[in-house]
Formats: sequence, structure tokens, C-alpha cells
Amino acid sequence: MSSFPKVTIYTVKGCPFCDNVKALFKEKGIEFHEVDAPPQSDQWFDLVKKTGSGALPQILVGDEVVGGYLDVIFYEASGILYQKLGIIPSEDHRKVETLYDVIILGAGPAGLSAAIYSARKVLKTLVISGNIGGQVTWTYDIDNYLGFSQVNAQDLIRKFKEHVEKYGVETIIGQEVISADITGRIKRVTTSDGRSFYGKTLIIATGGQHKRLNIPGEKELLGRGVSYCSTCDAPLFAEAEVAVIGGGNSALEAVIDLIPIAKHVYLISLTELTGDPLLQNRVKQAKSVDIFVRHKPLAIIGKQEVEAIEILSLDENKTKTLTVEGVFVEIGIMPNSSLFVDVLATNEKGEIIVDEMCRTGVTGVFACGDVTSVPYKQVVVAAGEGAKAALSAYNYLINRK
Amino acid sequence: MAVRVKVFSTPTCPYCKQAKEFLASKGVAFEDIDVMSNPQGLKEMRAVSGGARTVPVIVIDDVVIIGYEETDMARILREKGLLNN
Repeated sequence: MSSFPKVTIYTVKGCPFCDNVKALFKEKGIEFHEVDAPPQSDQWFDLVKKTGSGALPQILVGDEVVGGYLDVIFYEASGILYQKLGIIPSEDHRKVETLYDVIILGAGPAGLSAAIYSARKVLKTLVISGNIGGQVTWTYDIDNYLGFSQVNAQDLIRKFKEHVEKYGVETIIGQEVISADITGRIKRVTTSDGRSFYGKTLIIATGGQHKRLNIPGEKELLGRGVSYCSTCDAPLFAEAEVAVIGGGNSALEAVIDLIPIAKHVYLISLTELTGDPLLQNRVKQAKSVDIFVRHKPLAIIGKQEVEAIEILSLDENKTKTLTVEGVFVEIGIMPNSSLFVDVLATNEKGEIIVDEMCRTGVTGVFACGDVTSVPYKQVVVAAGEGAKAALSAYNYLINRK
Repeated sequence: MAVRVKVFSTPTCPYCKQAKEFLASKGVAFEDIDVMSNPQGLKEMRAVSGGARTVPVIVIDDVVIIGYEETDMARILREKGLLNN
């Protein structure tokens, strides 16, 4: 074997996929020779002559053209790369070479339901998630899940978890996914500890998170009066004046949580109230509640802790400052889709658009639950969508060559 | 031996419950302080956490954690020799 690296990578500065390719080879300990080939340079014309393509990066093993970054991922994960290089994959290589049938991102009701359905189809399944339970962990009791007239959210999560464990699904909990290459035949997912995982299919069930106001003071005073969990923190505001931001059910429920505790509650909504009439009535009847509809929060004021909130009346275009010790932000959920917005179609809310089979438009990539455009963010809906996504992944796997 | 872990919580807070269940499942002794019914406890919580007005606040020896993240808490417990695996 010559000492000169067999692998040649044609690159250009500022190209993220070029960096990804180099990082992948470095990670695998495979030497390579890099050729800087900006378009129209001599090196680039040489590349076009050899490969017929001017796309960068281009990877060659000897004289053989492998292709671009996604091709390398496929060659590496399938072992073809090592065959071509004439090397036996080391323990380290083999360890990451496990090729899952399904990788599920997220372990809320959608992700865990998908896990059960794919495990029951005997698909090699991996679940990666920061936590177990997703948004259910924010809730105390659930009253509308079929078969349970009232169930404690933690108990329900425990049951979900036990159910998944029964099928021996592999899980990685406590790691965030930091990148995902999903357009190739093999999907590659990298977690915050730098490990990579490979799957023939990917199910995105990453759910949602509390929407932020993105106004001054919100971040600075988080946990110092600013809260996204009224169930948790309402009891800490006994005899205090507080504000709740939002006009939907979560905001109205936060007000109802606070009425018996706080001295006074200001409900501030950008629009007319949109929550259930039943909840609206309870809030409107309470003596200690003032409602400001068509008002926009401008800033949360305070040094060490929240002291006041500044709001703007949309009708009068006047600002007003309310003295409060707490601000509960309940303006809805935004989807955890940021890793995928460049590749997958999303709607105006950033939700991944799926068809009735949970397909995303990229082959082998499915999505389910609150991260998708499917309406009605409910546990039972997410669980049903998770099942559908797994069955669609199964159909895809048995039908592809 | 003195209890080295304190959890300041409210009875309605799901994260507090998760934190306490995690500690219990690992056999880590802890003192649970309900700051809703115990104003003195609330004062103590705000004093040790630099004024936090959110739960849970978890104190492990000299380390104060605001909020609950299983991996963070497990790491600190391990560093303090309170968790074996």
C-alpha cells in the first residue's frame, strides 16, 4: 500500500458539507488528501474532467468516484467504504456502524407510540431524546386520555416507558440531537456528545416547546418572576400582583390557578380571548382579575426580580406599566423543527408538513405529533400519529429494494 | 449522617415530583421542603438561590440547581459521591 492517502476530497472554502466530509473522515481515522478546488480553478476543471461533476465536495477513493457527502455517509454506514479502501473496520468503526431500521427522535407520546409499533414489527429501533414524556412532563393530571378518566401525568409517562422497555427498544435519553443528515439513503444523526447514529428511516417526533415573548427582561428574569409553568410556580406568588400573558386555554388555566393565590391577576392578550367559553366565564367573573385584550407586552422590568410589565394598547397606541411580581407566559407552543426547516417543508408556524401517512416529502423520513402540521395538540392524537408514522416506516422498508 | 440533599418544591409541580422520584429510585436521602405551605422554607429557598422564584430548587451540599434536568442532577450527585452508577 502506498503511504499516500487513497481518499481525495475536493473542497472549496465556506462549504459546510465539505467540512462535514472532512470531519467524518477524521472521526473514522481515515487519512485523506484535500484539494482546494474553487469553481473555475485549474483543480476544479481537473475534477470535472475526472468525475463529470463540478459539485463540491467530491470524494474519490483511488480513481473511483464516490460522490458527495451523503454518498459517503451511505458508503461508510454500509461498510462499502472500508471494502474499497481494503481495510477491515476496527472496533471503533464497527461500533458506530449499527444500522437501525428506524431512528426515532423524541420520547413524548408520539415518539414512544412509534417505538412500540416499530418494535412490534421487529424493526431495529433506536429512540433518542432529551427526556421521556415530552410536554406531558409539564402537566399534572390528564383527564382525556382514553381508558383513564383521570391519570397523573407522571404515572402515564411511567406506563409509556414500561411499555416501551417491555419490547427492548434501545433508548438514548438525556442527549440532544445537534445535526441530522436526512436526504440520503442512510440517515445520520449526531448527538451533543459527538456520537453518530445511522438509520434506514427516521421518525421525527421532537414535539414542541413554550413560545417565548422575545421582549426585554424575559430571559434575564426567568426564574425570578418570569415563569412558563403556572402549575409549578403559582404557589410562590401568594398575595402578589401578577400578569398572565396569552388568550388561549393555557393562559386562562394559569389565571384560574392564580386566582386563589395571588392578590391580583392581570390577563394580557394580543387578541380577543380565544380559550373555551367555560374558562373565559370563570376568569371574567373573578373579582381579582383585570383583562387587557388587544394589548401587547413590550418589556418586563426589574433588576433582581420582576417589578413591572410594560404593555401597549393596540387600539389607543398608549403604553401602560403594571406593577407585578410575576409574569406567566402562556402564549402557546412552537414546534422543535429547527434542525429540519432547511430540508423539509414547514408551514407558517414552522410545523413540518406531513401527508395522511406521516410522510414528509423526503423518502424514509416521517414525522408525527406536535412537531407536525396535524392539528389538535393532544396526547391521544400524538400517540395515534406515532403509530401511523411507524407503520408507514415499516411499509417503506418492506417496499424498498 | 446529615441529609445532604434538599428539594424545595410545590405539591403541584411535575418537575419537582420527577426530581423526588429520581432521588428516591436511586436511594438518595433528601429533605423535601414544600414552599407552598411553609413560608420559612420559601424564604430559605430564595436566600440560597439568589432570589429564585421558581421550583424546584435542589441543593446538593454547596451546589444549588434551579429547575430539574435529570442528567445535570445525576452528574452532580455522582461528583459528590452520592450516586454509584
